[in-house]
Formats: sequence, C-alpha cells, structure tokens
Amino acid sequence: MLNKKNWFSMPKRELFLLLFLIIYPIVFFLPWTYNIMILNVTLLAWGAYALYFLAPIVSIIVLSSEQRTIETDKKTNVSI
Amino acid sequence: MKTTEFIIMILYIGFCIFLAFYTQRKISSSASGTDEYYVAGRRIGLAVNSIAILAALGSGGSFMAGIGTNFKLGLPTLAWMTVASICGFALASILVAKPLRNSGKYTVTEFLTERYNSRFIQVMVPIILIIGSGIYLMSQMKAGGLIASYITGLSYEWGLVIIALVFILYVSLGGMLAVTWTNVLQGALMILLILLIVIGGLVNAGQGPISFFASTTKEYEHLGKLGVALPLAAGIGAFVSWFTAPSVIPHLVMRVFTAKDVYSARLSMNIGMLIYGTLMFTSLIVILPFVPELGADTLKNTASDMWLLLIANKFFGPFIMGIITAGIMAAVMSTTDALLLACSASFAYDLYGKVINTKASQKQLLRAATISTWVIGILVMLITLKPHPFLIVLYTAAVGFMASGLFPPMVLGIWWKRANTIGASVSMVVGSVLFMILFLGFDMPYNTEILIALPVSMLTMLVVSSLTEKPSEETIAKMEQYHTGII
Repeated sequence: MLNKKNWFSMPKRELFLLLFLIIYPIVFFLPWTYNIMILNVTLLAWGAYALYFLAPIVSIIVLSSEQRTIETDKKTNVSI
Repeated sequence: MKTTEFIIMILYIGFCIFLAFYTQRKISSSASGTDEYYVAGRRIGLAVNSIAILAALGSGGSFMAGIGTNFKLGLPTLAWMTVASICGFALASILVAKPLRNSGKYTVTEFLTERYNSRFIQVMVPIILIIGSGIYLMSQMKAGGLIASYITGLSYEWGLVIIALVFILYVSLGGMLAVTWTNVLQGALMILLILLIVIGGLVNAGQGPISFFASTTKEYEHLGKLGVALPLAAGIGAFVSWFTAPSVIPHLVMRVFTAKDVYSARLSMNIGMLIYGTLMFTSLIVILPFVPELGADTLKNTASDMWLLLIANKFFGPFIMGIITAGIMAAVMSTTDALLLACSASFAYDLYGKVINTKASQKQLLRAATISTWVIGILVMLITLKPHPFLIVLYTAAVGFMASGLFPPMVLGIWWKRANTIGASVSMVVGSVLFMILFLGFDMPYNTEILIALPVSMLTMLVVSSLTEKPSEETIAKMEQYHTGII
C-alpha cells in the first residue's frame, strides 16, 4: 500500500505546501491554544484567522515558483 | 414594500435574465454548444475565474448568515469552518486541479468514470452529487426567500417561490456561460457589499474597530470561548468538510474545467480565496459588535441569517440598502446558479447523455439540461418551504456528504496507482451511506458525521483496492499523462 512505486510523484514544493495545510490546523487544534485569549477570543480562532491570509498567499507563491521552474525547464530544453 | 430596494433588485435581476437570453442565443448558434453550456468554452482567464470562484463560494451562508451564525455559535467554530474552504481550494489546487484540467473532461463524474471505467460509478457519482448539491441548494434558496420577503414585504414562502423561479429561469437558459458572466458581476457586487458595510460600520462604531470588537467579546463571553455553543468536534468536523469539499463538489470543481489552462485554474483558486478571506475577516471584526445593538427583542424574534441586513439598515438609506441587498442577492444567486448547473450537468450530461440515451444529439442534451434544471429547482424549492434553522449547518452537512463519498475515490484515484474500480465503488457507497445514517439516525453534534464517514471511506478504499486486482496499465498510463500534461 505504501510502496513508493504505487504513487505518482508530487513536486517537492507542493508536497511541503500539502504538509503545511495539514499540520498547521492540527497544531492549532491541540489544547495549548484553547485558553490563550487575545481580545477575549481564543488563540484557536486567531490561528484560523491568520490562515485566511497565509494559505492562499503561500499557495500562490508555491504555484508561481513551480510555474517559473517549468517555463525555465522548457526554455532550457528548447535551447539544447 | 421597500420601493427603492425593490427597483434596484428588479434592475439587477432583469440584467441577469437578459444576459441568460443573450448567452442562450450564443450557445444555440455555436457549433460547440455543449462546450459553451458546461465549461464556458474553456477560455476563462485568470481574473474572471478568480472572481467567479469567489462568487461561487461566497454565498448566502457566508455573506448574509455569517455574522448572525458567528454570534450564535461562537467564533472558533465558524473561524475554522470559513478557513477550511480557503485551505480546501489550496488543497484542490495541488491535489486535483492539474489532472482534472488536463483530462479535458466536463464533469467530476466523467473524470471518475474514465479513471475507474465502471458503469456503477457512472451512475453512483451523479446520484451523490444531485442529493448533496440539492441539500446545499436548499440553504441558498432559503436565503433568497428571506431577502425577497424582506424587500417585498411578502411572506417567506412567496418570496422563496418568486426568487426560485428567477434563479431557475436564467440558469436553464444560459448555462455555464451565463453563470460565469453573471458570477463576475455578482463577485464585484459582493466586494462592493462588504466594502459598503465595513465603511458603514467604521463610521458608526464611535470608537476604534478593535476596541469595539474587544468590548463586545468581553461582554458576550460565549463568542470567543471554545465549546460554549458548539463542541470542539463540531469545529473539527466543519473544518474537515470544507477542507476536502473543493476537491470534489461540482459547482466549485467546474471552475477548474472552465479555466483556459492548468496554471490559470490553480492560481485563480487561490486568488479568489485571498479576496474571500479578506472580505470575511474584515466584515467579521467590524460588523459583529453591532449585533447586540439590534436589541434583545429583534435578536429573539428574527432569524439570525437576517441580522446583517438589519444592521446595514441602521447605517444606510434606501438607495445604498438597495445596492447592499442586491449584493447579498448576488452572493445567493452566484452559488445557487452554480449549484443548479452542477445538478443539471449531473443529470443531463452524466446520466441522460452517458447512460440513458448515449446517442443523444447536442440539441437533446441541452433540452435535457433545461428540463432537469426546472425539475430539480422546483423540487428543492418545495422542500425549502420548511427550512432548517441554520443555513451554514445545513450546507456544511451537504458538502460533508459529498466529500465522504467522493474525496477518497477522487484523490486516491489521481495519486495512487493501486486505486481500482471495486475499491472506489465500495468506498463511495460506504462513505455516503454511512454519512446519511449518522446524519439522519443519530443525534450527533453539528457537522461531526464526516469525522467517522470520511476515514472509514478512505480506509475502505485503501484496504479493498489493496486486496483486489490492480488497475490496467492503460489506466495508469492515462493518469500519468494527466499528471504530466503530455497527452
């Protein structure tokens, strides 16, 4: 099931983005955030509000850099 | 009746219907009518697709009911529910957007049918999508009915009937091209709506927005604390539902198919979400503190979904209120039309054209799409006459149902070479049926059904596929092509 050959590969940057999208919520859902209050609102909620901006901005950066790599590779292949 | 608001609303709706008639003529005269009807000719650019994605996600639930639901159910749960869809689009942009766009398909069903080469999946997927999108549609029609009732002074039921007929008319006429064009207008109106309300809030606050927010959360302690109105599990369940949904639910995935290329599809998902997140966060911080000012009687006797409109009514005169109401209606319409179109595509394109009448001409397909839009729309309208109390809870259940049944077959089908037909079929049935049993048969906290149904569905897919025959080399090679884009 977990044999590497059985999976299609994912570009490294996208894999890190995937891990970020999964690990960030897990970290904030852990009990350490429940009783830390900012403006009388739990840090759990502020963690989500930060992600409103972080998730799309990080994704745009990753996808744009991925695209630049693809375009550079294409140009290199053509010139070769 | 609120005359000024009514006139602005009629002008706006009239323009949407005109656009639908115009696009219908364009579709009828086009040689590639099906392409135009379902995927807007696959030539939607980055900016337009971003706004259309914002409009398809930003709905009556988020823009209209969001403030009231936050006040009633508390900020932590709703914060994670909202950010889940933002992260969900980021997830979809890396997990499914590229292979889906490269496949050149029209619908989720068509993609999954090709991946698993199965008649069962060809029938099962549209059934799941029609049920799920239908429940989702109810929440939007309820919002539409409430707004129509607010403007016309008619009862909720009459407001619902009138607005539902308008929605159905323009979707049945214009298809995806009309939906895309109107979504751009609707997205722009939604941005204007939030800007106006936020400006109104800042002007009327009488103090800085942060201190106003802090004083409200201090006075109403339930707002900021975890587990007062809803348990933590409800927040996690809502997060998982919306995190997985954009990868599978058709009215959002369809924006991948309409994009002009892969890069544009992936980027537009995240740009749309950046705008959405900014609007949602700003409006929450600035407007939430005004809720208690509505007065205890209003809060007790009015649906929380209406509180935003009542707050705006305190800030503005009839003309601006007309624009704001049109903006909220735009939010409702943009999601409703995308959902109606997704239901109609599931029936007409996936079931009628691919299973019932495989030799259907383009004209027959378009007629089937029109008829199914009317039948599904009217059916949902009738059920919505007796609506669920919370819009957001209702449609989160709908996306949870679709994600439980379809996320494992979709994502594992794209990434795992061992994913096979029998694994996907069993997983689909287990995920969707288990979700429904838990939702209808057990008194679970809101939105927690997915926390059981999705892992069970995922595990079923992994185990059954591992224990049964590998998919053909041809199938794996096809997926390889969709990953690389070299077809």
